[in-house]
Amino acid sequence: MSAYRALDLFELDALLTEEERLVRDTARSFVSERVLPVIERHFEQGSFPMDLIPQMAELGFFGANLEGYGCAGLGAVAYGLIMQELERGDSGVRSCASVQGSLCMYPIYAYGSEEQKERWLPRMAAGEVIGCFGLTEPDHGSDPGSMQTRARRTAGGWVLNGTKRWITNGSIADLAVVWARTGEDASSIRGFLVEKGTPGFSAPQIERKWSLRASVTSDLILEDVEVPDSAMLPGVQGLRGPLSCLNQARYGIAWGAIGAMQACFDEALRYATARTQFGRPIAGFQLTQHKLCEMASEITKAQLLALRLGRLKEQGRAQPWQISLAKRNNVYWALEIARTARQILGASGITHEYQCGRHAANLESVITYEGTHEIHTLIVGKQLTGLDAFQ
Amino acid sequence: MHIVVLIKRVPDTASKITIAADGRTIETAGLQFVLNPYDEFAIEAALQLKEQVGAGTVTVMTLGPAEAAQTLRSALAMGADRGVHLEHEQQLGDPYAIARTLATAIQGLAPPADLVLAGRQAVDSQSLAVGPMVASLLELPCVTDVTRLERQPEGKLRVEREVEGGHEVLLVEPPALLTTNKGLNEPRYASLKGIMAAKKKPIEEPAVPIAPALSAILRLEYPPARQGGRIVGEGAAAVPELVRLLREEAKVL
Amino acid sequence: MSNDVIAFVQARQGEVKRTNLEAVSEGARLAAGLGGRCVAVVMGSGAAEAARRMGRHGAARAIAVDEPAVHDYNGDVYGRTLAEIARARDPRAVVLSATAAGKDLAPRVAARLQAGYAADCTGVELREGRIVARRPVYAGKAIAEVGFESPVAVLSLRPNNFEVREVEGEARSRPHPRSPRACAPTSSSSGRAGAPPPI
Ligand SMILES: Cc1cc2nc3c(=O)[nH]c(=O)nc-3n(C[C@H](O)[C@H](O)[C@H](O)COP(=O)(O)OP(=O)(O)OC[C@H]3O[C@@H](n4cnc5c(N)ncnc54)[C@H](O)[C@@H]3O)c2cc1C
Repeated sequence: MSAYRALDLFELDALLTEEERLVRDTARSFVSERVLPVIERHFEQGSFPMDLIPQMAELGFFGANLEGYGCAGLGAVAYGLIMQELERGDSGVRSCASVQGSLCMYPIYAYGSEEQKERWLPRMAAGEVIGCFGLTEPDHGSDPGSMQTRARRTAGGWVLNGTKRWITNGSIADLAVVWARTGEDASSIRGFLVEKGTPGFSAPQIERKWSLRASVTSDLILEDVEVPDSAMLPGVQGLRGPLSCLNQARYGIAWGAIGAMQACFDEALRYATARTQFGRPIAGFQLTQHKLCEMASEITKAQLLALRLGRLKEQGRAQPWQISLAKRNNVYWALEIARTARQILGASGITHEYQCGRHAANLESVITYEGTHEIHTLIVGKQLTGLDAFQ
Repeated sequence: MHIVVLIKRVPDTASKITIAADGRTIETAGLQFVLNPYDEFAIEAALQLKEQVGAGTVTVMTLGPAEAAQTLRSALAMGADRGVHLEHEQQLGDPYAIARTLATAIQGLAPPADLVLAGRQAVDSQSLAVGPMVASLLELPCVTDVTRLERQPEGKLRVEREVEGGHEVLLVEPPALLTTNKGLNEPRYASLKGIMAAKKKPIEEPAVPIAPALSAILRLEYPPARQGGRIVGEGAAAVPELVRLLREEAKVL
Repeated sequence: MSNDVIAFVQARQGEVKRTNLEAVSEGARLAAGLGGRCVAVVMGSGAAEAARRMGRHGAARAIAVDEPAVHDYNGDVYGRTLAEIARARDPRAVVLSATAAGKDLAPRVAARLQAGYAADCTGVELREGRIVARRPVYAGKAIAEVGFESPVAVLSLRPNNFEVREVEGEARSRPHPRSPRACAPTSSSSGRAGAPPPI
């Protein structure tokens, strides 16, 4: 099969800086040469390709948008392009990088003490320490403010109790950022750095997933886990802490979804031009062209949305509801496009020889995590109407 | 050690080629351009030699349009130290003029080059010419299609190249020119740090006259459509006819 | 300037690969069109013996270079030697088969002769007395027609694309008078190495 070609109908490449293009090209080659050859096997057996971690670290993919501490210090668009390319490979690989950079390194970077930053960030950038982010609980998903995990003050530190669920990287993580209530309401939520091996802390893996199979998803079980004072992130309190992290990650997902769309479109276009039925390529039928046209125009819109959002973010002007709108739109269309691509491929589309089925399955997670499609609808709705529809 | 690597910006081989209205060039709008893949091996080899010696400079040089500065930048992001851009618009130039111009530019470099590396061929023009031509013009010993390269303690280079029915091992004493082939190494990716560092590296634009072309493309055309398959017979009985067709029509025997 | 065409032939123990004969035949055809003669330059072991057979493929003359230094192919040595022989005859074209050795050799000769070069040609023709070569470019997605500005053109021919002609006749053959070793790059005070010796 010939090399992947990204769709760029409106010459958006020209809106990128030279540096951004180079970053994108590095990530793109990495995915073509290192991710795609192994991903199908990992997806089938339900394992994460661990040997990609040192490679991604060496290239600088972890915490790429942070400054100092061994991080590359890229702008938001360059960071987004990395997420886009990684998700062109697989949502699971992108998830690993999102969690490491945006959900684990970012809170340490933004809210950690200098000592915490020095201790963790360089090793996390180098891939020596893998992180995870524990917010969701079995009984509290979309409404994390009512979480049950509690941190109780002791003489020299804290004791944590509770269960987190659906935690990406959980079982492979060396460090967990765990969000817990220190008092009665959401305003008492604090972040804690819990190291693997701390007595009372375990992270059993969730099995039998049919989505995001090439990604580790786990429970975090905290039973009287004692951590010192120095494990608490001093810089933030309340729901704002975890939500600000999610904003970083959701931004990356808005880009990542474009990668999944591109992979599916590229595959569908190739297939449609090569496959003949009724004596001609199926791409020649109006119904197929309609599908391809819809895919291409949604990809183009998603690209414009992500790029503008990235530029706003670089100016420090991106609003959470803008990020919600972009995540919501792009993931929704990525899932539609993956399903449509699967349709174009006919029976072939249901095998692992092709990517669209895997992307479609993965995107079912992506449309749920980091704020479900519905929750993002409500965030945008609140912005538009001034009325809060959550409760 | 000063290693000069000759690199070229080329259309991605996966690109669809469309002949322009002038009938002599191709449409570049919408084409994806990349660093010539064979040149990546040359850059990687240069970086490895520099790392092995522990000192030195890797200069990447290109002859090409303004956009070729991006190609230089990507080589700088891989780890090259210095870029030289000889600006020229032509797409598929005359190999002699390209080689002559590059040779002049190499001669003008300070410090002088200890080793010149180039990809065995550019995937667009497919001439396999520029490396050996530059070497001949500079009277440098030249080995093409290198698939293995080792620096010996005293500074000589032990190189291997594939030849019909085996491979050849040669000892080359720098200054010399080598062209690199697939299999020599696995080119590194430009890391994000490398990309950031490349921003600060210099790209020089020396005033080197572009040598006059000794050949020119008069016309480009699309290759004839491939003919469909044909069944010449069945079993052993078909062999003589197949051999005849392969010899007389396909001309491969 | 002569209207001759030089065709390069590599010999191994007097044997010559068929692709080399394609270069001789095509060289002869081209020379006939230009009103000159085809001169085969045969290099390698048993070159003299092989040179005598070149007439059968249309060469009017053959020059044999059979010295130990050319028994194995070495681009530096072959390049200098062939360029020197060619320069002395001031031909219109030098043709080689684009075998592995031919691809390595042709550009070296072209550089030394200050010649326009067309690699891996799939066709050669004369248009109003001028040489026009056809060759694939862009990974075979286009075919280019190449014309030349230089007095001499160097052409490498895609193997198995040109006819081998059998004609009556014998080439006037002679050994090359000068030792090719004199043509080898010499090490000098500039510290420049000689041709890389095979080890
Ligand atoms: C593969 C995977 C990886 C994950 N990784 C992590 C991780 O690393 N860290 C982490 O903390 N979490 C993670 N999550 C959890 C994820 O963020 C939650 O699944 C998500 O927030 C939704 O929570 P829930 O599953 O409990 O669904 P619920 O909140 O129970 O929602 C169920 C349905 O009800 C809808 N709904 C809920 N409230 C409303 C409302 N007010 N109005 C309208 N509709 C509503 C939802 O949209 C959804 O359709 C991951 C999830 C998955 C699937």
